[in-house]
Amino acid sequence: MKTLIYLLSLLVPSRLRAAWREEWLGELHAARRAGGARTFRLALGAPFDALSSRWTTRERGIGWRGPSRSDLKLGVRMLVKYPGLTVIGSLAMAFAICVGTVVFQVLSLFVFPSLPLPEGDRFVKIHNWDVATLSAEPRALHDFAVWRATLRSVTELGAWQNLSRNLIVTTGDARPVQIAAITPSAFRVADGTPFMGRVLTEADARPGAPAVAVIGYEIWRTRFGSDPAVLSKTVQLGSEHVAVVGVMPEGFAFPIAHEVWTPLRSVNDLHAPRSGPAITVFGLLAPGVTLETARVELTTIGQRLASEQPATHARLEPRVTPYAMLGEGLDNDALGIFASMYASTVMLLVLICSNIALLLFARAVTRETELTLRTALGASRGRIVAQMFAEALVLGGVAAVIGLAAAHIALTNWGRPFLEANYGRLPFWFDVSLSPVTVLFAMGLTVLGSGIAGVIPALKVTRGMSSRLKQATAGAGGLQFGGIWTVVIVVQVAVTVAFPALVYQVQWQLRHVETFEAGFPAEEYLAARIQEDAPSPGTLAGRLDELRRRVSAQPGVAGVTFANRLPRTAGPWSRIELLDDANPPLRYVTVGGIDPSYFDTLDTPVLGGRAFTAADLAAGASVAIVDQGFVDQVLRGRNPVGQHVRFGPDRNDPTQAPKPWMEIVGVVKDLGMGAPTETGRPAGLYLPARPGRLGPVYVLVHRRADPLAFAPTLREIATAVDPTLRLSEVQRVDQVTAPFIWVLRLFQRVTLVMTGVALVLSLSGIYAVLSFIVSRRTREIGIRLALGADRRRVVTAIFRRPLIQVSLGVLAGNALLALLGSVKTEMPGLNGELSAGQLAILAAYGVVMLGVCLLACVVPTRRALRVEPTIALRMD
Amino acid sequence: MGALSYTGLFVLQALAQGHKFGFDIMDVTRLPSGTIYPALRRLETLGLVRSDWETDKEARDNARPRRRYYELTKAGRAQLVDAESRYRAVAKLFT
Repeated sequence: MKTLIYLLSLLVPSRLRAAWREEWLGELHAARRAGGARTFRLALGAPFDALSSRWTTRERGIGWRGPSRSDLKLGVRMLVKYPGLTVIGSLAMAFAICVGTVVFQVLSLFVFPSLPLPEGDRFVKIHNWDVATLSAEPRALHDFAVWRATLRSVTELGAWQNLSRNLIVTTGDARPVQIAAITPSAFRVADGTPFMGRVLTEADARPGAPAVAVIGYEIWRTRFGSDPAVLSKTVQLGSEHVAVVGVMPEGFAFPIAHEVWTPLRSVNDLHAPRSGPAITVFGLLAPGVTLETARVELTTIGQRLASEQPATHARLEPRVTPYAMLGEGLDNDALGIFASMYASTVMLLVLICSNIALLLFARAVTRETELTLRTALGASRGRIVAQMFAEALVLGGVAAVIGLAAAHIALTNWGRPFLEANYGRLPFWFDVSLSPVTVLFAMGLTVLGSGIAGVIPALKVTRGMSSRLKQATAGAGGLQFGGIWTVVIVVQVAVTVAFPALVYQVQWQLRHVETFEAGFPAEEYLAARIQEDAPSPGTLAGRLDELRRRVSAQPGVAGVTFANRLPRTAGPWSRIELLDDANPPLRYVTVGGIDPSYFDTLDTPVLGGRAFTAADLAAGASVAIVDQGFVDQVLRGRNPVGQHVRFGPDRNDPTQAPKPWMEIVGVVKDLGMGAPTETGRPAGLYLPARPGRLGPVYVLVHRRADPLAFAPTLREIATAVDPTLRLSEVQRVDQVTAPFIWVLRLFQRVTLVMTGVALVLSLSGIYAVLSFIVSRRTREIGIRLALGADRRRVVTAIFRRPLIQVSLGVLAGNALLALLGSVKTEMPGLNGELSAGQLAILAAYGVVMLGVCLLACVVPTRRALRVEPTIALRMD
Repeated sequence: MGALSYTGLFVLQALAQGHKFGFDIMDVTRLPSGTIYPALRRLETLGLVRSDWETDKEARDNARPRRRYYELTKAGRAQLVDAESRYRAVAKLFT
């Protein structure tokens, strides 16, 4: 709300601004205390008051009072009178407003995050920052106790520990949930009134208290079937049995995106500095205290701790940040990217509205007599400009309604899935629906767009109006089509030419991802990631062997194996060197750690050499298997078996001892080693590894018939083997690229719509230019035809200007493509080396564009040629 | 001094009854905030109302930002009396 008031205050004259802002903040604070709905009711008046402050000031001396009601009525009439312009103009502007609104709303979640909690702007996070390692030190239980006892500027201090555990409601029904082990005060400060039962209390956190949990509404609905008797149930969280004591209301996910809450008991124990679990500390700024004051106090406490305990705290710097700020906040690079994205959306609007301005100018030309008459009757230039601005504003209003509705639909349907595809579970304050600030931004875009579309043609059409009036030349060609419109058309056609290249690039990426072969029937495999509640590498292999034994015994299961990555997913790259290279260059390869059963389970024969055996898992057995991509690209076709390879030195630490050589013992075909986004052919290197030794653990189950139907059985078996084994990312192996494909398809649709808008605007612009030229030259054309001029020569004269403009646009578009090709290295064929075929496609597209644009010239030209010479001669 | 609008009259009456803040006036008159605040600004420009800020101490004691309060000027009181008598006279015409 603070941000909204700040933005609105920009509308208020600067001398009144500070007082206006302070008054509204005070009033909103009072309203918030009185109740949430009244805050909203009060806030609704802020924009009116801001605008009123501005207009009241202007009435007292500056002069221009803006468009009147009759101007707006005239604008509505114009919409009805020119339906073609209304449809094209409003849809194009709506598109720009929609794009701008969506981008603003999504970026605002990162740049201006705000908590939808009472006193949300007072919420802060406190953490220690290690200035030596430049990383956060999350083991802060010791310091938390100190902060809680001494801090005055931050109150209601609490902490939580992030946990993931299997929630086992009935036997075998185990799914991982996100748990916050949290101090009970959190429910008080985060407005956590339970939907059912109770929240956690201080008594729950005491040693020896019965284990209890509060569950989220969604968990209650989906896992307990909305059971009203849930409070009498005991469930399992990992290996611990807990009693459900409460259900939180729908939407409650404090502190981030949590589904289950348990008491944070470790907070009552004594902890040595920099020990214990990783926690996050939160609190509320004391009333009237600023973040800066809290920083000063926290720094003082930090300095005292550093002098008392230099061994652990000398390099620690306690920091307090707004609660909703991500990490250490946005750095300059991120802010630069965000600023450029904002600027791009504004540029899109400017470009589109420049085109609409062209159309409105063409319309204004047809009304030149009316405008001249108004000038003759005493209307000032400012009055006429205000009138045309009002007309554009009405058009913009229609566009804003359409654009906001489209943005709402886009955000509701695709906004959240898009963010989740990129960032996983979203914090509870990430609300993608349109916020009041975003609506205000859209209104700003509308006013800006209407200003460009209405004022520029108005200024142009009214320039020299008085002299035209003196010469009585209204409607007789006093107006000229200036160079600015030529530039607009050229830019528009250039963009229309360049956009399809973008569509082509997305299409190419999409096809690349879709056709990236896994090398085996991936649709017959079920995969899941396995994580432990408390990692214990010593026993993991034994438990996974048991899991394998039980799953293999299930009917329909043809094999079970483990790997540290799934085929066709992004994973670590490593630099390697070969023993037999005289001057060994370093090469990058994709590395996979696999169980010896991997190739057998994938039904993939070893093409040369041998497969891994159990003996290869022994310490000191340095062997590797490579894929055909490795053979072709790294070994240039040489026989890999018997070659020796090792990982290159760490680039950050060249003094490190060289890694041991590994013997390549076999070669297999390409099995999707590499991310689908990689443009080149990947080179893969497999290492034998016990599950968990080389990072994440994935289980792959080969089941030919409907592998997804096996997922519940797999969960059940895993829970029976060990309830602390959590299965996530359960999916068919061929679907691992689905989220990426979804994002690419979305991007493809957006670029297609952009291309469509650019094309329609180009055609409309060219049509407007031709109509203008013809209307200016109707008399001349009629006379020339009456005198027997050749119709072809007349047509050529009419066509010359648009032909030049479109040709220039096509050339500029191709230049833009060449420029893009020189920087976009990911796109084959546009890397500055265009093949003859691609050149032909581009040339053909240019010709098609030329033809399509010239089609827009047909109607006005035919109109001109049909003019009767007698009528033309009577025109003044 | 010109005639007072109904909104202006309501605001002056609310101030005369001791409601000093915009939000309170909005509450008692049941008029939307988009009407109340511009009306206050207008009345202040006309010299019927004056505004001031409460003290820092008062705000700090109540743990909130400073609030701006409004009160009637002498001219405002006169205008209110005049407007009320005028409206009463008009009401008599219809009773």
